Amino acid sequence: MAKVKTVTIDGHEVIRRQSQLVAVWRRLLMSPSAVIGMVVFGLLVLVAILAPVIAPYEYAKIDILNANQGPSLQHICGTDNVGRDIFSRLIIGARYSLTLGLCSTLLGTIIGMFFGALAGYFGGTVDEIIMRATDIIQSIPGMVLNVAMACVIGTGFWQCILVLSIGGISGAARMLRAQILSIRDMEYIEAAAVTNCSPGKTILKHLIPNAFSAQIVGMTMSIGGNIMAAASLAYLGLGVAPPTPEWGAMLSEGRDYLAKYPWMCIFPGVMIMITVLSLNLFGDGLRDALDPKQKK
Amino acid sequence: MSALVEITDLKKYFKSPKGMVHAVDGVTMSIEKGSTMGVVGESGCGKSTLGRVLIQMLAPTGGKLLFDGEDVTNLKGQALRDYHSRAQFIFQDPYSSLDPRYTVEQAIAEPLINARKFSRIEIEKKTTELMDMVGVAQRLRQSYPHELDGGRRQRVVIARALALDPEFIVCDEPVSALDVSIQAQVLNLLEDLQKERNLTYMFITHDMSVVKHISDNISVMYLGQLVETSESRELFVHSYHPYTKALLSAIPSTDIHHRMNRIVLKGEITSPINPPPGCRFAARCPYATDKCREPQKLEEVAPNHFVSCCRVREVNPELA
Repeated sequence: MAKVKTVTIDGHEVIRRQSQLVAVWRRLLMSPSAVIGMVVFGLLVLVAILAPVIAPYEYAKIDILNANQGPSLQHICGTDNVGRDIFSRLIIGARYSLTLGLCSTLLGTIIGMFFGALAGYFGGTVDEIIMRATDIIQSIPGMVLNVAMACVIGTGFWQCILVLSIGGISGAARMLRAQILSIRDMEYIEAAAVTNCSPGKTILKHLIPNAFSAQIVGMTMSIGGNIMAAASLAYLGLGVAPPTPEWGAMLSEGRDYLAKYPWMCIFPGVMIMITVLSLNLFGDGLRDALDPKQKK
Repeated sequence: MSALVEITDLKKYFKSPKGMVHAVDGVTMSIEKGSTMGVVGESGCGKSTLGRVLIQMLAPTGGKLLFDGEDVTNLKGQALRDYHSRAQFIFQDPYSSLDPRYTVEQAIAEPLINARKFSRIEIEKKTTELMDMVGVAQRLRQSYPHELDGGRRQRVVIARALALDPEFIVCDEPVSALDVSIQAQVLNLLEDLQKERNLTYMFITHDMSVVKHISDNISVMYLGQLVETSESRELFVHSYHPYTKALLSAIPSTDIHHRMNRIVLKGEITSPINPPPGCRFAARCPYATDKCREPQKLEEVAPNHFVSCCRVREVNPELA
């Protein structure tokens, strides 16, 4: 039970609890894993913001004499095949990778939720059309779809975000639709209709808030996937163009040297892993914190 | 007194893979202003569907629905919204009919907000009044449904139904999900509200003692059809339809000197999917003949006492 205090309104004593946001925040702090996830992800964001200040070297500076060096005091994470400092590239890369992962997931989820809500709420023909469309999209292998979309939309950082968001639409739509189907037949939705709640308002105020928790976890999972997909696109020359130090792109560049100079792959891989892990922990905790039935 | 709600030959069929389910099949009744019509019957007899059709939550398949003299059979858009401010619904289960993410205050204010004719201050004031009216303490304004007990939740549901000051409320088993100790409180609240605001109720239940307590008139339904309707007191003394007799004989008695003459029904319950014409009860009725397989008519056998049975005079010699 959230902490409550009573205040007096019109001569009535009312239990005035803290606002929903504060309550969610409190519940979030109760979960150690959520706090760890939040702190780690917060650090990553901080690194991205302060990147030019932290980075010890110019991220694109080629130093061919010091190429392929292992981790040392000069180069904490070693250097790549043309002698660029991997540590500096990782730090600058945080900006690109995080923005890319977050924006593409957010965009894809929002568009997907719109269609999923329509399909779930109205059912029938609307549902049939939207679900068959997502079937078509999902029947195309993700990579092929991304390549095809990249060819249509073009290459570059923002184009890459758009391309990746399209891949996320159908998954988000399906997930929300499934959630809404289970909630739609609850009596409180029927009760909302009797109180003259319009369909749009019912979706926004009753269905989505009650269906959102699973979506949040799905979102945190797909951020990591999108960073990886961006890497594949970059590898094919359809994503973020070099020398932009996007983590995925660094990973695919290092693939050719995996046997001899593994640090070129390990460090970007570790960064992606930390990001995904911290987001998953945070997402898991957030889902629990958003549930008002939590007694703590 | 005049009739507030009049339904004529109301039908509601549902499509199912096996055929049409005749949930409500040709029900005719009228409910007087300020009175309570109890609707009783076993599970699946279509009493909840009837209530939902009356509030226009489901569109009827056929028949006519008059409210205060106006035809409200197939309302849409603004007309339907207006109708919902005059006719409301109380749900059976207060655990599932309140959104778990809405506080008491938000839940009660929702119909007022959706009406789009009140200012924020008016909504605040009306919410306070409604909470007082149904007896939910003001300190619970910002509580969530899961923090309240069943009785309080049902009070919140009642406050929501009352928000737009309706004339007619369909109560769909409003106390069956509650503890017996709380049932009486909620029933008394409903009775008090009826007296204060001259409300008209349709009270759907399967609990005979509840319906006896609260109803002025009682309608007995069996598989989508109305079998008997009469004044409440009359029905408990003189019931004429064989099904009603069986139903009333099943009420447990607390009097040890009173021998229970339980009428035990035998036979399969007729399927409501594409049922044959005629009396639905014929398959289980001890008095059934071939005449019962033909469509039945509601007949006034005593003042304000209607029975749908072609053999009513043979089964009840006192009527002949």
